[in-house]
Amino acid sequence: MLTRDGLGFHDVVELRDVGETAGRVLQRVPEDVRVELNEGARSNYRRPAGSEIRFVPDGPTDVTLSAPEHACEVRAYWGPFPERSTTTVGTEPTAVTVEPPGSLADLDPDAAAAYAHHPRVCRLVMPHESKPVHYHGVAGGVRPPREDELPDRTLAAYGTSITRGIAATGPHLTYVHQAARRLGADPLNLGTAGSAFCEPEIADHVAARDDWDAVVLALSVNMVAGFSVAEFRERAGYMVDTVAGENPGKPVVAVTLFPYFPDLRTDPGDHGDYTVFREALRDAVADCPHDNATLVEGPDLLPHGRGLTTDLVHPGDDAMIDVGVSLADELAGLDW
Amino acid sequence: MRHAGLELHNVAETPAREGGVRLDRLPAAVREALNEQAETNYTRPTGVELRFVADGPVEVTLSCPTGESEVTPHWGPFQCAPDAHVTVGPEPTTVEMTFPEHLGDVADEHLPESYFAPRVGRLVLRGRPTVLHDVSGDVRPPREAELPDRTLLAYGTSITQGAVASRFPLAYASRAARALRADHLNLGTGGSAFCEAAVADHIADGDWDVAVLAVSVNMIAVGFTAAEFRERAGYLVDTVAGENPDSEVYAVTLFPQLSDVCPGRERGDDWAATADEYRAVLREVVADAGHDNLRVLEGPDFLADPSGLSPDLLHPSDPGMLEVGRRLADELGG
Repeated sequence: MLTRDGLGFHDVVELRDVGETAGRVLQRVPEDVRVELNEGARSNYRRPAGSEIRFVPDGPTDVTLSAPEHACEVRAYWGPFPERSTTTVGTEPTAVTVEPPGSLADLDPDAAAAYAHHPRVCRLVMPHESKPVHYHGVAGGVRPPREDELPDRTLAAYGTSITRGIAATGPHLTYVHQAARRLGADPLNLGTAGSAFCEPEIADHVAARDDWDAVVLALSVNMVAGFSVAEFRERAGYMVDTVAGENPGKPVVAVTLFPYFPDLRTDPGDHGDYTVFREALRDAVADCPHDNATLVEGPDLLPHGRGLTTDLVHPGDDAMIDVGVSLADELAGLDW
Repeated sequence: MRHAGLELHNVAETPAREGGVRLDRLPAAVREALNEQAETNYTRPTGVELRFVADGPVEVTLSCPTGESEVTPHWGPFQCAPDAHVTVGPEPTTVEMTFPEHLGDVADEHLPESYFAPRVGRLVLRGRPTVLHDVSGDVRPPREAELPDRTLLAYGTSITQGAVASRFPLAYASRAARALRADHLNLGTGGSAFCEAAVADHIADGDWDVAVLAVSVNMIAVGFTAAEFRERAGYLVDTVAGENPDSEVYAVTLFPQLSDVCPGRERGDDWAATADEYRAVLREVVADAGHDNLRVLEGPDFLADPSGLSPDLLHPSDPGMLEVGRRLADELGG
């Protein structure tokens, strides 16, 4: 976990000075990877996806943030316990003030220690659908969380806006968070809206990271229009092979297209044979020589697309929860 | 009830207010027989829905004179994405809805059976008392065949009202109803679920199929004794179940909260009983009532993981609401 000023940054790999403010933007992939990706992904990875600033404060603490392009809401959690209200981070630097709640001090200490995130750890959870957030500084006595105050394992996910979770009501309701919570794991969201094009550079990056224990690759409704099935087969195949090959013993779960509007219509209309993209991912996993790569069918995680929002593409809260539950069941059955 | 071509769901009375009608969940005659906080609380539109089937665009104008209320639009079972969610403040705000035609193309096999038809526009409300001003567009109320066959009513405290849930559809009773493909009537009343006879009689007279009575951390918190709780909760469960022999009634004991999870804090400062004593009383009054359609369910079983609470260690946060809703639906569906 990246640390700075006594704070831990989760699902943030760089705090980059981009010259726009006196602060540093929270970036989800390193700059040398980001610049190799398509334009949409370059923009996406400078936006948080439920990324967190974590610390153990010894009293009231101000963490100063800004959201130069558009104000956003940040919620503090104490371990698993969310504060009831959020703080609006404006376009100008805004202090997010937190203070450990007295009620949690009386928790049964054994129960408190058993939570995946210890209740003494303050987690400032960034939005999942926002514009960039910049970090400016901290005032107060803080230290980064220790390993024994955090989950033992991490579930990462790469995919589209569905993985990023843009139609969920809050960052804690994305399927990645829902699945991770059920597994007692930390979520690591590498979703990139409209731009999950499975470039070799992002495949190599996911493969090389040492901060996840299982990964979901939900590939990729973004490629159905604009890429041939052969191009998709090549890129997805490289991603599955590379990520699985470089991480023996860690489950790599490839998920075929979640159900969306052509699946739900009596007549799929002019959407062509999008089902070949599911077939291509099945083939890629079948051809992968690494036994830690497995396939899960998107339609099995979300039967009938139940709970999609009205665009019939993006899961709403209901669908996110259902996918999270089903995915957690799948992952709980794997060895990791 | 109906108003201006809309079906007003979970609305019992519409007193004229500020250039429109307020959307009250209980009639004034019942509200006035309750404690002061409940009297006010039932003027809040918790789980009120404005429903319609439209031919063309619809505009619904609302205001919230004393604060804010949230509007979560749906088309039948499909919840609109967050960018279509609306916050209504003191100034009138117009919510615009146009049926997305592609929802009409979804094959029946992919739609939940006996639930809302996609054509049914639903504005789901929660917040401070809300006034309906105007409706424009070619609208009619939904037909019976376009609505769920069954209705789940829930009475209880702010927990039942879904106080800390991010939005009303995430409240446990709403989640359970959805999982059961049932309609939902929410009579939660924060800080004030004192199980008065008037609310018991009103629920007993209502039109629903399954009732959940989650009582009542509010009574323990303000110092009602176990004997007082016994009398009121006993009347509530006996009356509601006794007058509705063809419906199912479930009494839910206190959900886990601070006194259950903090050693040495078993009895709150103003409490005249413990949480376990209240739970025992509820079990006993259910047994004493002796109705075949009445069962007690244990609140602690619904929230096995106390980390689903918010930091006040009383109100379930979204993960807690999801757990309660799922487990309750499993119980009710079994």
